[in-house]
Order: sequence, then structure tokens, then C-alpha cells
Amino acid sequence: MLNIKNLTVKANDKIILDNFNLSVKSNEVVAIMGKNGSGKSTLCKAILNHPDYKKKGTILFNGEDITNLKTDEISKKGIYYLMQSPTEIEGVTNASYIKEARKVRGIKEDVFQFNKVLNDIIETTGIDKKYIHHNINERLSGGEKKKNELLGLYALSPSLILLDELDSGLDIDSLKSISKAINEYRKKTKSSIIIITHHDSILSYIKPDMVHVIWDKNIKLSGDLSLAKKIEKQGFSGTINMTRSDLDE
Amino acid sequence: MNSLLIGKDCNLSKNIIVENKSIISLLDIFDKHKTHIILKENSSLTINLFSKKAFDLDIKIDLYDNSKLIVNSSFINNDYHKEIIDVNLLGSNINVFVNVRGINNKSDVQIILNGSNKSESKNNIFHEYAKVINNTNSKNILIPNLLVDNYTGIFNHGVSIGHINEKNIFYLESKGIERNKAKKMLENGFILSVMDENIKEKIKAMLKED
Repeated sequence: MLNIKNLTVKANDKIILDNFNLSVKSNEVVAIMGKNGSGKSTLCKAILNHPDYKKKGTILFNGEDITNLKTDEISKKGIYYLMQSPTEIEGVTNASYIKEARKVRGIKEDVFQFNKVLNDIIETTGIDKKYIHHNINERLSGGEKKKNELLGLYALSPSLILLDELDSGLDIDSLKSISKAINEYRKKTKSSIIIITHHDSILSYIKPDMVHVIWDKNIKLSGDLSLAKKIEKQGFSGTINMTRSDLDE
Repeated sequence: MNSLLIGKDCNLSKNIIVENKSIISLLDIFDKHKTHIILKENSSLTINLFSKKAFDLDIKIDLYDNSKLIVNSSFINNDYHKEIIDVNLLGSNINVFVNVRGINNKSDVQIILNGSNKSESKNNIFHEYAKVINNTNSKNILIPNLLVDNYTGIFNHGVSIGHINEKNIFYLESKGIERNKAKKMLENGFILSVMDENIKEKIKAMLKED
């Protein structure tokens, strides 16, 4: 599915990730944890080839080198980025961008077919119908923005979802309902997920197969959900300084 | 609700007086002429103005007690664009909202928004803003003037000149929309967002012609 090999990422001449390697299998959920500024969100932006980040190394998606593809081309390959703070855009509705995004993916449909797609998503996810013709995230709360992003997720059918701090700005009820919608999508599509997070709270709702910890520009620890629990207890510094035998206990 | 679309090669001069709760039908073309509008007591006027041709507007609007004015003006210029909107609050309890949005694709842009409130005029609400997205190296002059002689009301004004937000472009790109198309969608959204619903579809159709 996704293979990142020897990736070095720079922003403003500062190295954020250095010789970074990551592998995500099909239908796998991988959590990337790390303290503030450790490069977790940079990883998402590097995968999407954000112009502010300079890269060396290789990113393979389904065997294809996507390292230097344009952002829109990467998205069309099947990668969906749910941003930590989704942008507010005035004058452009969800319906209009989703329609265009489906069109460029080669989906041919008339207005009735398109409306049915959106209505089916509304029914499946329980998202308020008003979001369809709402300007993208405009004047929505943090939680509402994340719910709003589910429309795009379901409509664009990605096979890899990047969840960048999904839990930030969400109350527990919203986190539960959004996680449920993402889990249902994954169950239906067998897609993979990369969860970027500081805390283990989201990992109770979207269960990871693997947990990796970024420390000093690279993955320093890997394990299962118990690693996230240890981090929650000991903190990042405390966990990193533990020996392997400590971790296995 | 009254709407105005600026058509091609139209020339018309008009003085308009609005009185006694009447709402005028604005189907006239202001281009290249000075226009004077008077809103008498308890009258209201909404103007939706869109232009994508060379444009020269000079409009003076006098308002009296309890009158209400909304001016939504937007443009995409491929030639010069000059817009002077001069609003005089000559009574009390007046509501004014002037919102100008433009995309400068080629030539010089000059927008002057003047507002004045007489000293004996009380409890007026006045907002005027102009925002221009500049896609060229040409000159953009935006001047917001506001003279307030009585402080019992609420008065705001401002202008800004800039580019399409790169974060917004990246957002749409991350959904699979190619950069130029994303920019176009954002620009159209920027100018459409100030217009009333009843005229949006007409403007969308005009934008599609490009």
C-alpha cells in the first residue's frame, strides 16, 4: 500500500524528518505518535507533496512512485487527507468541490445521480443535510469541520486516509461518532489509515494494528496499542528512555 | 430585491429618487456616468452589481431617516476598473452596508469608498469594505474614507489587497482538484459570496463563458 523509504523532509532549511521509513499495508491502521513539533503533520504534507516542504527519498503508493507527483494527482491515486484544522473557504460549497473532485476522478453522473450519492452519505453517516450546500467549513466549530470532512471522505472513496490529529477540538461524543463513521467506511472499503496523534484517546475508537513513535526526526519505537498506553503514562521522553525490556513488561 | 448586471456597450445616465418605503427597480446601467441616488425617509435600496468589462462607476447616494442601503459590488477586470461610491448619511437610524469584491486580472483598479455622517445624524450603522485579489503587477488603489461627526452610531470601514490564500488552494488540491481549476473556483467563490442568492446563478453563467 504505502512505502516510505529514506525520506528526508526540510522546511525553511530545517530538517524535520531525516532518513524516515514507514510501511503501511493494505487494510492496516497505523498510529504515528510524537510530541509537538516532532514532524507528524509534516509527514502527511510530505506524502501529499506540499510545496513548502523539500524532500529526498521515495514514497511508493501501491507500487507507484508518487514522491514528486502534484498534490491533486496524489489525491486522485486514492489518498484522503483529513487536516488537523480544515480550512474555511467562503463561496465554495461542499457540493461544488465534491462534484468537481468526482468529475476529475472520471466519475460520470448527472445531477440526480450526484444528489443520490450525497443523500446516501448523509443517511450512512448521520451528517446534517445542511452541510451539502454549506460553504466549505465556513463558520463551523472544530468538531463540525471534522464531521463536514466525512462528506468528502465517503464521496471520494480513498484507499488510504491520513487522519491528522482527528481528536483535536472534538468533544467525546463527536470523537465517538466521527470515529464510528470512519470505522464503517474502512470496514466497507478495506482501506488503510494513518492516525497522527499526541494521545491514545482516539486509539480507543479507531484501533491501530501498529503504533510508531517519532523522536528526533525518525521512528524510534514501534509496538502495538500497549505502547500508546505506556506513552500516556510515562510521556514521550520517559518512554523513549525506557529500555526494550522495560517496554516489554 | 433588485439586481443589476452590467452588460456590454451600455450607456445610460440616471438620477433615482426613492421615497416612502418604495423599492426601486434598478435595471439601468451606471457605467461611465455619474449617478445620484437619494433615499428618502423609510426607503430601502439593494444593489447587486457585477462587471467583467471595463467599468467606470461614480455613484453618490444620500440617505435620510430610517433608510437602508445595501451595495454588493463585484468584478473581474480584464480592463480598467474605477469605482467611486460616495455615501452621505443625512438623517438618523440609517443602515448602510457596502461590500466591494474584485479580481484584478489585467489592468489598473481604483476603488474609492467615501462615507460621511452629519453631526446631527444619530444612531446610524455604517459598514464599507473593499477586497481585491491581485493577479497582476498593475496598480491597485483602494481608498476608504470615512468622516464621522457624531459617535452615537457604529461605523466600520476597511480595504485589503492580496492573493488567493495558498492554504485554500492546497485544500482543494488535496481533494484532487488541479491548481488552476482550484484557483478559479476560489476566485469565483470570493466574488459570488457577496451577491444575493437571486442573482448568483446569472453571474455563475457569465463566469462559465470565460
